[in-house]
Amino acid sequence: MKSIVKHVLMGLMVTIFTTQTAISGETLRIGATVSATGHFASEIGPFEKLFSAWAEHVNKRGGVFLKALGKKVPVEVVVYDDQSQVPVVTRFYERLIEKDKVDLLIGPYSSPLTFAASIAAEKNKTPFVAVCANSPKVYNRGFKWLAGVIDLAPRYTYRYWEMVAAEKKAGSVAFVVEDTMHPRGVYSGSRKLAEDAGLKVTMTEIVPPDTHEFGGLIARLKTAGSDIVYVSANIPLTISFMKQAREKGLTAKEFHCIHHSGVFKDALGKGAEGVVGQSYWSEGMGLYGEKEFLEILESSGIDVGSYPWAPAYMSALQMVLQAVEQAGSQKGESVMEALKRGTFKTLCGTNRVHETGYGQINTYPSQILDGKYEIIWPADKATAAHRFPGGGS
Amino acid sequence: MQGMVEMLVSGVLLGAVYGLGALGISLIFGVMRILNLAHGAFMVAGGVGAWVIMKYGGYGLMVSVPAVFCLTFLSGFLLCRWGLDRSGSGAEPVNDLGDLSDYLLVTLGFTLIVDDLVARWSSQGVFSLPLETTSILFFGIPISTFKVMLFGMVVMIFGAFSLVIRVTDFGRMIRACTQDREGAVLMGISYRKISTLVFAGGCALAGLAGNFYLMLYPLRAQMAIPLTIKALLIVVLGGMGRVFHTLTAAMLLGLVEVFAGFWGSTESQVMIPYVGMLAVLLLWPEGIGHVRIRETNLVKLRHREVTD
Repeated sequence: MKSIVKHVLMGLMVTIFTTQTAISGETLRIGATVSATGHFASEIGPFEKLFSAWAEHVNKRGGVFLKALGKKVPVEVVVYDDQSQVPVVTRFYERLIEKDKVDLLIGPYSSPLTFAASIAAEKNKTPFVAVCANSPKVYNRGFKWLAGVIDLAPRYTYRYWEMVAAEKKAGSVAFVVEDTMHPRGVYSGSRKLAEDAGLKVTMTEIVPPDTHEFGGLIARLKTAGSDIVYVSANIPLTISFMKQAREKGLTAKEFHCIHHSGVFKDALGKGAEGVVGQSYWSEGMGLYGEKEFLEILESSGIDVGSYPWAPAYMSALQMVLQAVEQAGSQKGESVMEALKRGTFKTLCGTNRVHETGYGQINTYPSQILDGKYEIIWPADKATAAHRFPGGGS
Repeated sequence: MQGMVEMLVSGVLLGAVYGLGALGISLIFGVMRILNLAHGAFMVAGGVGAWVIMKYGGYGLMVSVPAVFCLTFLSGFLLCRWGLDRSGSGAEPVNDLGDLSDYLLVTLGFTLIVDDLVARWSSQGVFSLPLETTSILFFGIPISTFKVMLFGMVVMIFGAFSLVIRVTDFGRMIRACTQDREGAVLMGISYRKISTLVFAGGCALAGLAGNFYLMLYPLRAQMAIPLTIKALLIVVLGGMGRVFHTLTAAMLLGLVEVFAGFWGSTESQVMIPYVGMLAVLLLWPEGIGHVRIRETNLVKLRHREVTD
């Protein structure tokens, strides 16, 4: 009994201490949700570990310097599982602001979740850094407390189309598009970019997100005979389509799947070979904070091949840290001002936030070659040469 | 030509998997007069179970099929005894709204639990097996070996099921309970025993359907409710409690899904089955099989009139 009372008292003391330090501004509290379960778990499932490893890494160096206090303060990250669901994400972001009293927020994964979560931040005037959200719908609401890391969806694969235009190897493209916010946004820009690159669009198929059978579509794609089959879809639908495409012998010269992470590679096995997709980063590109990022990956046990959004999250955290240091305090207004005005060096390149809130970071085309993800464009960032036709079976 | 054969194979196989799933729901309805809303949950559980056996155990279908059958049978048995029986909707016939809401709550609750457990357990969100590309030549057209094997297994399961229902005493007892439950009980058949075994067997068929589904498509968390709806759609099309017509409707649905994707679009392949269900409900509310049954009854009636 005494032991129970002792533990309860200790617990209370820890709670009071944490609350007091937070209120007195001795800790920088960052709130976020990750989709540890549900639809998006395949994309960012274990990212709570990434946040923890990053916080540990920063705190080992003494924390973040706040000019207003004249000293470094530790960072603390509060993370919840949003279950990939809009109602859950809304509830948790409200809780992070009202109950956990965080200083700033890192956005959830995907445009639909960010769309919902950012409303809570705007309502409560809390700085909100959107990470993997690039639908224009997120940024055209006139929100003042929103700062993004990545560029808009229509430009998501612009470097790929630059490469196609420069190489002049492909003449036609067919689009397979999942009927959800992000894939449709990517498609809207890609179609124009493909046409600008001189490609003939042989067909476009808008696919409901729960579709599992692609026999009919694949037969039509065979008849259309396009050089490139461009799959703008989330991972589950991409796996389903590509498995059937390989099984039924759809022989495009190149498959471009906007999401081709490790889950995709595992599911397709040899069938993933030669598939082109998009990556934010690959080891050896020589961008800012690479060594630090590799250490964080190692301590969190996250494999960037399986979770290719990790570099974008790292960029968001780098941006947050620099913004707080530039602001000199964790006051919401100062941090937001710094986020809107500043230029930030990140793992994925230099970022500046546009007036409406979206960022400048964009993906690079990457190809699965001998089981490894290789950046293939532009030449100064490429880690391997583009293989066209891609092969794979 | 090759494309058509490939689509035909895909459609038949998809229909067979759907049929296996719907068979269980139809059987349970036939005997217990309840709609098992946990059916999709058993399909997901079967698929995830098979995925674990194949991915981590390194075993093939020969191991996963009996293992999944046993696991889902046992789970179905326990759900019936601990869930439905205690709620009063398993052992006794459902005959009022009170019972109806009880079993709806139990089966729907079970579905939500399974969905959530699968979602929480899966760190990747998708259950998918590696791509199989070996094929055999069928009149010069390559057909995937594992699909041929899969179809063979589904046919064997249908055959065994049919044999049990037609030939064995247990099958006769099931048929008796389906046709006239009170009469069957008066003849000494334990309705509680039969209904529990039928419920467990129906769940096991759903588990097997989940296993075969996994062989064809990636399985996702939170698929239980869509799969239940698909099975219900088939049962409505075929007619409640009619096994043969359920299978016919499932095959039809499989073929429609594939060919609608070819002649129409992927959007139409999702929409057409629901339009079909609406049409069937309007024209033949008791399912497509009822057309023939009604005609047969009419012939019998005329025959009786003549002999009278």
